[in-house]
Amino acid sequence: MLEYAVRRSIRLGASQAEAFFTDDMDTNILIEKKQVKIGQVKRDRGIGIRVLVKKADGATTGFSYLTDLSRNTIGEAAKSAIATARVRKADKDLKSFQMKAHAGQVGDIFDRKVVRTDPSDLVEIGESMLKESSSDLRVSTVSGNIYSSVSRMAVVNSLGVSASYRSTAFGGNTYVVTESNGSIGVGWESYSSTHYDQEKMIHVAKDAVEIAARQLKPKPIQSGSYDLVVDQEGFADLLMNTFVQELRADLVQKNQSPLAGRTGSESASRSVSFIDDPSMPRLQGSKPFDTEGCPTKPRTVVDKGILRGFLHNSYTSNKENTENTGNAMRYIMFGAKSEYALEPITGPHNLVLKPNKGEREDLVREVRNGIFVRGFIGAHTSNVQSGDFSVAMDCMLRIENGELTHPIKQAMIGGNMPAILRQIRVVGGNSKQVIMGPRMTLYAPTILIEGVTVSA
Amino acid sequence: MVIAERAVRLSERLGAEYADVRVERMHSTEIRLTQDTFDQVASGVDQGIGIRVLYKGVWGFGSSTSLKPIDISKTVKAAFDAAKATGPHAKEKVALAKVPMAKRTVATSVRMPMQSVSMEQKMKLTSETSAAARIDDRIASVTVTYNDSSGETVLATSEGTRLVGKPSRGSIVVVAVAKSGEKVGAIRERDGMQSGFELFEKVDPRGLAKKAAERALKLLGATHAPSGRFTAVADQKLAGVLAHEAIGHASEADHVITGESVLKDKIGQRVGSDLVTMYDDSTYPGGWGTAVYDSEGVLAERRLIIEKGFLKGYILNREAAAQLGMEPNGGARAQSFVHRPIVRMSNTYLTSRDQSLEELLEDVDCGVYLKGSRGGQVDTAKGSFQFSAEEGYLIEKGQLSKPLSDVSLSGMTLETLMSIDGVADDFQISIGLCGKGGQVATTGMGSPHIRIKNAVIGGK
Repeated sequence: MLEYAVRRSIRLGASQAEAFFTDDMDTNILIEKKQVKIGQVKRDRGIGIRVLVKKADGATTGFSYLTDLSRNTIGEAAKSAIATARVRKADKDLKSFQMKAHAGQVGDIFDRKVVRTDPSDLVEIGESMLKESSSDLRVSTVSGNIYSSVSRMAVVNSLGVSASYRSTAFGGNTYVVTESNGSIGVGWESYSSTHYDQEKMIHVAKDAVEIAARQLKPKPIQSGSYDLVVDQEGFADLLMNTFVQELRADLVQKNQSPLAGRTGSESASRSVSFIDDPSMPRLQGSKPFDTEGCPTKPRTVVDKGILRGFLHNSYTSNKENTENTGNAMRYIMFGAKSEYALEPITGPHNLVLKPNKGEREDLVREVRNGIFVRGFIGAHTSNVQSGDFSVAMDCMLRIENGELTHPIKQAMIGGNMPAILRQIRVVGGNSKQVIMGPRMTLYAPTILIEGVTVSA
Repeated sequence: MVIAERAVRLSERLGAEYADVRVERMHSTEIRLTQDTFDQVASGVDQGIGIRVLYKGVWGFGSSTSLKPIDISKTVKAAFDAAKATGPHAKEKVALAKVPMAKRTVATSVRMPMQSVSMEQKMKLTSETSAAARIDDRIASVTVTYNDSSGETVLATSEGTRLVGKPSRGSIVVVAVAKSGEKVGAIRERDGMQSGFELFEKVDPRGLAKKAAERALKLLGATHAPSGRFTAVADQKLAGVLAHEAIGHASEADHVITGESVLKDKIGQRVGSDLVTMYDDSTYPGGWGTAVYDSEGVLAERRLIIEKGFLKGYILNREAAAQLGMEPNGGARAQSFVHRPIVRMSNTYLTSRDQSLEELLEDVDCGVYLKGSRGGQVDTAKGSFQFSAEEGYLIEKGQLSKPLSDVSLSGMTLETLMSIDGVADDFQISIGLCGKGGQVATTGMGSPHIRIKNAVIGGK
């Protein structure tokens, strides 16, 4: 089918053509109000056809997608993509789609057990999670979901790229509300992997209850400067809406990133090293090639605080005449479009913050006057272009002299992501994967950020 | 309709107490122009089926992008398997509030069908919009996004409802960024309508672009906002976001039922000051969230949520209406066939009172004026929220003074509603997108200017 789409596009007049395909089979069980509520099974597959048309002063691309995979519709989509390419103004930097290459090496990202999972297996996990959370009588509501997913991604183009891989995904989250004497506490926890793990999901429920229970009877705090111990989810949320976007070569080239021109300079504290690693086993962002068929491999993005490079796809690397890092990804920041319905931009696979050592508690012990925070509310309102953000903190505990003392009523932080990255003093060792986008994760431990202005 | 009816019959044969099937074929276009280069010019067709079955009091849902008979049978079966797996564990059985059967075709009034307009013309509109924002050398970047979607939707239920929809909508979003030295100011303006391409006779993309650029330039002179408690005056956009995020989400009946809403058990009680009246209105003419029927085939209504400070109602789907013993009001929406219908807002707004903006400002000695919205988020259970304004001004002795950047408003919903002590007479509604349960919905958010005492303002 993909080969047909490519052949058809070339016959219709494209200089180069690419067909990108994803096929996802998702099973999802929702928990609402302390009960397993609804099961959903979704099959989503489609093809995105991209063509390149050469012109006297450069080239253009056109794109069209379809979910009705008949030959007729494929022909229509190819025609539409070519029509778009014809009317677009030529871009002299647009040279070629991805050339044929050997796929990268990837750890284990396919679990047969996930393939065999049916709705009743997930319901059973849900029941165990509910049982676990009912042990605390203060729990007033539990909601969440458990999912398993089997995917195939494939890219074929007229330059000889013909690659496909399969992966699985498993995970879920839970959200717990506790009530006691008129006070309400909220807690949540999540787990994600490519492999089935019932025990981990039960732990998620247990941890969420513990967190929610600790949020009861919050006290106000004074505005001022605090050290923050930030958990993985919160850090991922902030990063995705600021730093990750700033690393995108497509945005850098359009002068829309504050990191433009800063390669080789200090952009984070010395304790911070980021590697975009698409090869790690069991991470949902691992893949042997990107959405244009470029092989992937681990790449250092920030080395001990020094910015080493940006995330490129075929277009941005051709434009700068630099190596393609294999970071063509298809997603939109706010929305729910399938990957086949989008043209590639750039993004990380698994942004790995190199771990040091220590658990959450070890980081807390290092803080005299601070706040432990699990998440941020409103991170999507950050200003990508400047890295400025102003967010409310979620699930907070006060840290006094190395001890977690009490939950906190309401507090916000404002700041600038480049500055925050320079204020990271300690990186823990408790790495965890958090989903940032489709086939895109952050793999990071808890971190300690020094001297953050908090308004309460 | 034939496909949908076949899936309904198949569901019934397998023992469904109730089934609804949505089949859609939607054409969409997305054009994004960044810094005068098109980085997304995409069109496509989304086609598929979503099947929801109620079996022994439990829901199952299946969706597929394939409409082949064999795949439809598989999807129906998958929905049943999901329901059967959940069934033995469900403590509460689902009941649905009774609603009249509906048979109708609802078409958006269209003069210039989206698909009859060439990609070239849509791209031209996008570039002209971008050019209109280039009013000053300090405008460092302009991004314009054009979107349209149109097509046909079908809903068939086992109760005999047969609805055909012919929706069509289009929108344009402009983000202008001004830079000067280290200072950066970003502003987003957007507008759209449910209409054919002729909507751009009413919506003025170039005007939006110019406005975005002018506002972004103003931010260059702004200082960071102070932090602490102030009297806040919010413009129509930000107050609309407050209505949507803080109150709207808490009035969604699914949150009420799961205990994740501060408005739970508060019908008839005071939840805000006398000045607060709020609707969630599916009937608002031309609204971004307007619909004749909801995704369950229920007539969509104008829902009174708060009247003069007293909580009057919730947004309901059929299941929630039955559970709460209330009359259904057509508040279920699904983003597309891929998703099941869930309780959603439509056009949510606070109504006007009789003061002018000047009157709201005049007795403020020291306060903050917040304008525009970069979005927000809410925890409906705790009733806490956070919104970021695009721009702000200090209010000193009743007058707007210094411009402020990166200013946000956070607080507790009920406390904030009680603290609204001024509502102006200058109602405006704008378009927005709302995310919930992995689905995105087009919503309208509206309000006049409002004043909030003792609000928590966060700066940098």
